[in-house]
Amino acid sequence: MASHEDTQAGGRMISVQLQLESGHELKLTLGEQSPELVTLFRILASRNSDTVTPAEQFLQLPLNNGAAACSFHSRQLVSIITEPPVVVQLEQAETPETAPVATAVPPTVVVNTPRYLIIDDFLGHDEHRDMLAFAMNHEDQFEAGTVVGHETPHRKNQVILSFAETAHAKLLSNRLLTWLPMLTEELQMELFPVRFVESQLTASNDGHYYRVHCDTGADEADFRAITCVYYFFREPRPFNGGTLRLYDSINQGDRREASGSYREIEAVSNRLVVFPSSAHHELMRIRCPSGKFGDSRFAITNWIQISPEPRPDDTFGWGHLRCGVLPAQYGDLAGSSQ
Amino acid sequence: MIITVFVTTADESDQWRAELLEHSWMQTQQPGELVRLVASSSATPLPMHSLARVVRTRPYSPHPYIDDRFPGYNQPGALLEWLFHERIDATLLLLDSDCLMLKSVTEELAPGEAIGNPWREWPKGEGPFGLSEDYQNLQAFCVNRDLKPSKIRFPLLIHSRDLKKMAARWLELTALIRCEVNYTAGKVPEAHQVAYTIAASEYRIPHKVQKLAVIPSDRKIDRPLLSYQQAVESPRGEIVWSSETYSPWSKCKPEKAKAGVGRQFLERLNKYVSLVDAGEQLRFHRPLRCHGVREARLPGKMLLEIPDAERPVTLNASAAAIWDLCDNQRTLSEIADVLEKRFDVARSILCRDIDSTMKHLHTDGAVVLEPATHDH
Repeated sequence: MASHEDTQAGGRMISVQLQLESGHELKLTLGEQSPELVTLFRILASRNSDTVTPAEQFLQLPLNNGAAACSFHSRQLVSIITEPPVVVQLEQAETPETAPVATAVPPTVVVNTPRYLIIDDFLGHDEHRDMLAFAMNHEDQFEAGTVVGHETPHRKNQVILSFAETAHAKLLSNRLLTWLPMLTEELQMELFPVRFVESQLTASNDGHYYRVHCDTGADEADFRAITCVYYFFREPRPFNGGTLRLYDSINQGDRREASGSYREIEAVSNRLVVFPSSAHHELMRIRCPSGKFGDSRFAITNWIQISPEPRPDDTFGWGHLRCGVLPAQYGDLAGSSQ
Repeated sequence: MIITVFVTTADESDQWRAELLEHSWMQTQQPGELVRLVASSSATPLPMHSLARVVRTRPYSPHPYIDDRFPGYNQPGALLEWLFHERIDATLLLLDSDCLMLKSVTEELAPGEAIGNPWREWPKGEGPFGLSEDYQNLQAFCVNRDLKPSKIRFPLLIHSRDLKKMAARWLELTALIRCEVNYTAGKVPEAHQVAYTIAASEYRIPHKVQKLAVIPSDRKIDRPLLSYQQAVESPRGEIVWSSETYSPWSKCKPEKAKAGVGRQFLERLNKYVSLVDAGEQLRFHRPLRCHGVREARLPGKMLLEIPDAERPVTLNASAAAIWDLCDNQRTLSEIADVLEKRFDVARSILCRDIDSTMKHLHTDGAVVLEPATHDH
């Protein structure tokens, strides 16, 4: 079920005291995972290197709940005192597969943290087991995954592209569409008429990865609104790694790129992870010592597509759901209480 | 921690049931919280309660994506939405709205444990899940049709984590049963109840079958809950009282009922009606005038101009007298005290007038009702 702690981008509120050169101090409150706090730590950790981007050299921080702002140059930052303590784990230089950190963006950069949602125990016990049996029994139908618009290896895994035609895909999409109004609400999206639900079954084994990408942008993918990844695999887990990194994005005019900050979501069997298709994400490299197909990390990725116009005659899932139109009762947001 | 939860619409017909349940919840000193989920659009004002927390969810009837009006969708839909929005980690006592409490329920459950009231009329047969042949078409939508669901129905006890797991499937199966099951008299009326039993078995949440509620035809009260869906009958089998035809808060005739639970239920109902007549429930609310409401006095009536309202609200003389006494300090009960001294009117009539006027003023946006006490 939804982990609300996960869905709140800021986490705990942290009282932050910045000590600047010449003895100046600055006090403010920031979310534990807010991009501003991440940036401050990154700057402090990078004072003697060249990795501070031009955007990070010029800092603007909100004061008094956004009623005021303070601007200063990053080299003025001497230390950061946080209450409660925030422990920062500095990372190694990123591997070639990981995202290039955005460069040369103007100071007006906007950092967006994508909302996401985790639903554990998504399918029933036998449905989950049956999904695993299906994947195991169709090893011969998996083929190497490809990425439109990328000639260099951007992705290494195996997929069944025609999975959407199967009863297993319909089982999953019917359940997803039952959830759809709540998914859109949690992602702070308007409920939309559905055009189609794409579905792809992926097997990721030793050394497999999928570099930073977003799921929109190429022809058919233009209609993708929500990405839903359903994980399933043998237990105990026969592989390491394979986490999903969900990146903050940097908006610069019409361009949008992955930021250096991200959240990692662990692949847990029978877990559904939902995020906007426009969000940058990455499958981290998997280590599967046995290399056996059956020990792969399986995932079914569903893309719920938005329709530009109502499709009242279309049915979805098992064929009962008319999601091509907006239901009347979803015209207003509920949730109030006495 | 036990949370007592029930799902209704915002219809007036649900209100008296909800108030009766709330009163019984208070009387039994049931620990934990009482939550009323109201499946209604935001255009409809939320009903008032003195003790229950009222939470709006979207209406699930008609089903959002299937052209099917069926109130049974509201139960899984509202519970799914509520558990999705709130961080609930507790034992849930799930009740139908036509249920009242006779004793407190204190048995807390761990995840994986659940208790349900026996359902003797569960449609058993040779079909999938041991259901009747009518359910044959369900085979196409269920992976393991050999599961044997517990034959249970509301009221029931379940841990919130378990209900979270299965609620979406419960809603989905309700729709599948309504669409796919061949039922001789149209669509299956108990689809949501059958769907619950299947979803619970699919998500491996076994329910211990244990009688939690008595019904009017039972001889004695030996369970903590009473379900009054069934009519109360006389010794000759004539219907003495039915929730379908009951006019709230009229007095009943327990002496005509057959001795047993039915008669005792009517006696309890009459006691509550007496409390309503005495204005007992009015002491729980304090009316606060909404900001910006302007009043104009005319002979024999008053006009209230409410911000954002299309037209003014007209109050007759007695409603105007009630409005005049809304000073943001007095409770409704204290307003009744003042009016009782001022006018020669029976308190029961006065209390109903205040209750009715307040509901209208609340709906029109002239007042909000603040809880005057949350003491259990």
